[in-house]
This record gives sequence, structure tokens and C-alpha cells, in this order.
Amino acid sequence: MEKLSKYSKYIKPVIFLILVVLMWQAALKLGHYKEYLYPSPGSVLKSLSEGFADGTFARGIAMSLKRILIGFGFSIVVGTLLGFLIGRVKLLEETVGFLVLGLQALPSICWLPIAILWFGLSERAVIFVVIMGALLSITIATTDGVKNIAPVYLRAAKTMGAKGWRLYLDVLAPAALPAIISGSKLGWSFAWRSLMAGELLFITGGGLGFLLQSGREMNDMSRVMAVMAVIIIIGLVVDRAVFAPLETKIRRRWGLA
Amino acid sequence: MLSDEKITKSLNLKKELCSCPLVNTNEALKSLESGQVLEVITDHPPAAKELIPRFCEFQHCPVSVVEDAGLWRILIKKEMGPSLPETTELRLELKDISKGFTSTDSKLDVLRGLNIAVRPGEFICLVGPSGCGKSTLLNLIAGLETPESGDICVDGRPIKGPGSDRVVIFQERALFPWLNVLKNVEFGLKIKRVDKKERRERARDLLRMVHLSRFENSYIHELSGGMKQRVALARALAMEPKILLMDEPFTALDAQTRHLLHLELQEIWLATGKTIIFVTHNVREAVSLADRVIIMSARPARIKKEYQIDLTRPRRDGDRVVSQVTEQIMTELKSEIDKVAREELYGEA
Ligand SMILES: Nc1ncnc2c1ncn2[C@@H]1O[C@H](COP(=O)(O)OP(=O)(O)OP(=O)(O)O)[C@@H](O)[C@H]1O
Ligand SMILES: [Mg+2]
Repeated sequence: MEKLSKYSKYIKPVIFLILVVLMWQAALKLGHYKEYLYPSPGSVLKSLSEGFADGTFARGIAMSLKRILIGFGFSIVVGTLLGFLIGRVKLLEETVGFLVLGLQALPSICWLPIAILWFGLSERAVIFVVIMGALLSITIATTDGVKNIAPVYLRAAKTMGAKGWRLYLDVLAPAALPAIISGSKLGWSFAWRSLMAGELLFITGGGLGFLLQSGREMNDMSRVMAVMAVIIIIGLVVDRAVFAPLETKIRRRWGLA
Repeated sequence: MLSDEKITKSLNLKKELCSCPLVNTNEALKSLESGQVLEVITDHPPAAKELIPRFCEFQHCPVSVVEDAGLWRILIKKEMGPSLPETTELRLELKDISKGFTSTDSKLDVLRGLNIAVRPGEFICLVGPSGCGKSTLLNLIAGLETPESGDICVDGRPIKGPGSDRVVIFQERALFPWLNVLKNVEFGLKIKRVDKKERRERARDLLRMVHLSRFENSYIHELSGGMKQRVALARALAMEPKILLMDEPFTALDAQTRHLLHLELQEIWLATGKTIIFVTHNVREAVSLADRVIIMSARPARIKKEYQIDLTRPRRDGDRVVSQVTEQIMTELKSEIDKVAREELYGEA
């Protein structure tokens, strides 16, 4: 019963998806669509299984995940530190903080030309774009979190003798954690989008974006759609299975939900 | 050794009759003269083995405990030895304290020329109209704010910033939700670099004292309001402060829980000998807890009046004298509250 109710919220979306696929199949049957432009669900599924069977998808996924882990990991570390500094130092808030807010308005893929000029057609250029996607939103969220820490936590810590780095490590950091997690969740989705855009535009070695591009070049529409499905699924799974439960759990414990 | 024939007074503290053994023992001892003997009968092991003996040691009274079939017989000799003179030393002294807050365009005078002197072990309740500066005063004593002028001395020495000899229990929720109950209580000890084994032991002792042993692994959001304030109390006591500063700690609780915590707080007060400054809006609460109730005036606040409360504890709500004193203080306070209301509604200074 417990299990059932946990999954019951997925029943309606799944039925709906099945209906969409059936309608897609039916539309192809009724109309006169060119198969190479409008592949059937069956052929997409076939491409999907072929892609996984011959290892190309696995290699693509591994490559993309490696890039995003480097870029996203860097963004979390640097973004959190930067966010703390901006949140605690008035001068930095008025200078760097202002700049960060401004740059956030720029879609991160716009950094690609600069990245290519600086780093050449290299791995580093793509990772740079990923960082520009995630870093700023994590920084901004951390700053907000730090500034909104209930003052009573600080006062309580101070009456118990906490100061200096202990105050940061034992009170400020955990108190700002919910905001940092929310920022990272947002940062992840920006990073994933940036990475795909980067891999699409910047054609060298592997990644899911590259598979998408090569599918187009081979006029293999069902391959293109299969890769799109993989991209959606990875983005969703990380968001739903990693960040969402973490966020819910932490917000509940911190008494915010 | 204390012997039977000298017993002057006998006290029955069987569980169903009494939830606050120290309060009752203390009252009974007060009524004795030096050299007389108090007999206490109890079926409550912690009271017999820990609380009452520790309390007696604290009061420098000789004590003997005899167990007989789940019942303890405790003999206490009241002694006014040279170790317990009427001290003239003060635990806390506020001398001519003034404090204001400046915003961009105006200055708010909160405290002006405030003097308070507190003896060691005294239980003081502060009452006053909302916004008169009670929390500000506690923050000053805690060292979280600095006064514009005047001195704050603890045991004769002026304070410099926060110190673990004065700990605040806040009005709002100030427990750390990212730590469990045990770790919250250990927090201050960890900052003090007390080693792990010792701080765990001390935290567990304190949790036992506030009856929360079973919840040491719970997180704060899993506790009721009363339990949270008990944890806050244990966390503050862990610092072994001389002075406990309590800012409306029980305001958010229902009447029954509050009553229970009043009894517990009085027990802890007697068991530890802390000096307590307790801020409240609730005059009834003040009268049932305090040795002395201090009424603060409307802003800029001074001491308007003080009441020494020498009634026997635990004080009952329905008690005639308690109600009388409460009534008196309320009248006094009401004139100040009216002043604030007039100012807020009609802008009269
Ligand atoms: N940090 C601050 N900056 C500016 N004004 C302050 C600050 N802290 C307190 N005040 C002002 O000082 C006055 C006294 O505040 P305080 O919190 O001490 O009152 P209180 O007596 O504790 O009130 P309550 O009974 O409502 O808790 C209030 O008018 C408040 O607005
Ligand atoms: Mg207050």
C-alpha cells in the first residue's frame, strides 16, 4: 500500500505519455510523412537500443558527465566561497556582488566565443561555459542565504563563545545550507543546458551534444530523437532523484517547510 | 551522624505528592533554625541519590541518606556556618546604563540611567511594556551589545563582550536545526574545546536533568515547544554560566507545559545555584518564579519599582497572596503600558 501510493502520482503522466506515443504512431500511419524526417516511435526506440548496444551513447554520457562534474564541482566550491564573501563583506557586496548580478543576465552560452579565443577548441572552453552557467546562480543563492540567516543563531553562537572561523564553519555554513542546495539545484539545470549548447556548437570530441550534432549530419532523425530523450532523462533524473529529495529533507529539518 | 531524636520537622516527598523535591526541601529548611534537623521521606531515586544531597552540599548542610525498601529517609541539619554569611558581594551590577539606537535620521533612547544590583543566586524577573528595552538589557548583560555609557560588572569585574559566564536563552527559536539534541547541548563545550568524552557525559547529564534523555538523537523540528525550551536550557547550562539570562522563554507554550517548566526551572535553579534574570510579559509568571520582580518603565526605560517576593514555593496560581501581589504589580505595570499606548496611538511624547 505504502509502495503503491508512492508511485501513484506517476500513473497519470505515464498514461499520458503512452497516449502521446500512440497518437504519434497513428499520425504517421494516416498522413504521408517522410520517414527520414518523421521517424516512428519504433525506430527511435531502435536507435536508442542500438546506441546503447554499440557503446556510443555510454561513451557520450560518460564524456558529458565528466565535463559537467568538473565544471559543476568547481562552481559549487567557488560559488559557495564567493557567495559567503559577498554576503559577509559589505564592500564586496557593492562591487563584486553587483557584477555577479549583472553577468547573471547573460545566457552562459554567450561566453563560448570568448572561451574559444582564450582556451582554443579545447576541453577547457566547454568547461568554462558550464562554469559560467552554474557559478553565478550558486553564488547569488549563497549570498542570499548568508544574508538571511536568522540573527538569533549568530547571537546564540556568540554567547556560547563562537567566533572567527568556528562561527563560519559551525553556524553560518550550516545555517545557509538550504539556500546553497537550492542554488545548486538551479545551477545544475543551468550547467546541463550550457553543456549541451556548448557541445552542440563546439564540435570536438564526444558528449551527448556532439552525438546530437552528428546525428543531424548523418540525416539520422531517429538517432537525433533518441539522444534528445537521453539528455532529457539525465537532466530530470539528477534534478528529481538527487536535488529534489535533498532539498526537501533539508528544508524540513531546518524548519523551513 | 544525624540521629532521630533531634528531628524538628518532617517532609513527605512521595512522588504522587510532589514533583519538585528541591523547592519543598528548600522551603522547609528556610523555616528551620540553625542546628535543627529536617527529615525528608521520598520514593524518588534521583531526588534521594543526587538532587537533595547535592543541594545540601551546596548549602553547606550536613546530610545523611538511608534507604529502606524503595523508600529513602534523608536527614538534613540546617547549619548557618561561617561559610554562608549574608553576602554583600554582588554577582551582577549595572551602573547607570544608557543605550540608544541610531538610525539614519533619528535616535531612539531605549535605556537611560539604569541601575540594577543582583546578589548571587537571586532569581530576578523583569517586566515592562513591550518595546521598553528588556531584550536590549539582556543583550547588554550578555555582551552582545555595548552600552553607550555606564558599566556592567560581574563579580566586581567589568565585562568585555560575550562570555560563557553569562548565557542567554532567547525568546525566539535559537536551537540549531542542523544538529541533533545532544549535539546542540554539546555545542558550547565543543567551542570551548572540552574533549569529546567529557562533553558527551556532561550533555547527557544535563539532558537527564531536563528529562529529555530519550530524545538525544532527535532533531529540533521533531520536538514540541516545551521540549525545545528544555533543550535550550540544557544547552545554556552546559556552559556552566554564573548567570542565566532568559528572554521570555516560555511565552509560546501552553499553560500546562509552562507550569511544568516553571517547576523544573525552580528545581534547576536550586540544584545549580545559578543567578537568573528572567524577562517576561506575564506578571503571574513573574510572581510565581521570582525572588524579586523589577518593573521597567516605558521607553526610555528606568526601574519603576521593585517587589521583593518572599512567598513560599512552589507558589500556586489560586493562592490569595500570590493573586494580591500579582494584582498590585499589574496595576503598576498598566500605567506604563497605557503610556506606551498613548504614545503609539496619538504620538504624545
Ligand atoms: N538593533 C536595533 N536597532 C534599532 N532599534 C532597535 C534594535 N534593537 C531594538 N531596537 C529598538 O529598541 C526598543 C527596545 O527593544 P527590545 O527588543 O529591547 O524591547 P523589549 O522590551 O524586549 O520588547 P518585547 O517585550 O516586545 O520583547 C524597540 O523600540 C526596538 O525597536
Ligand atoms: Mg524582547
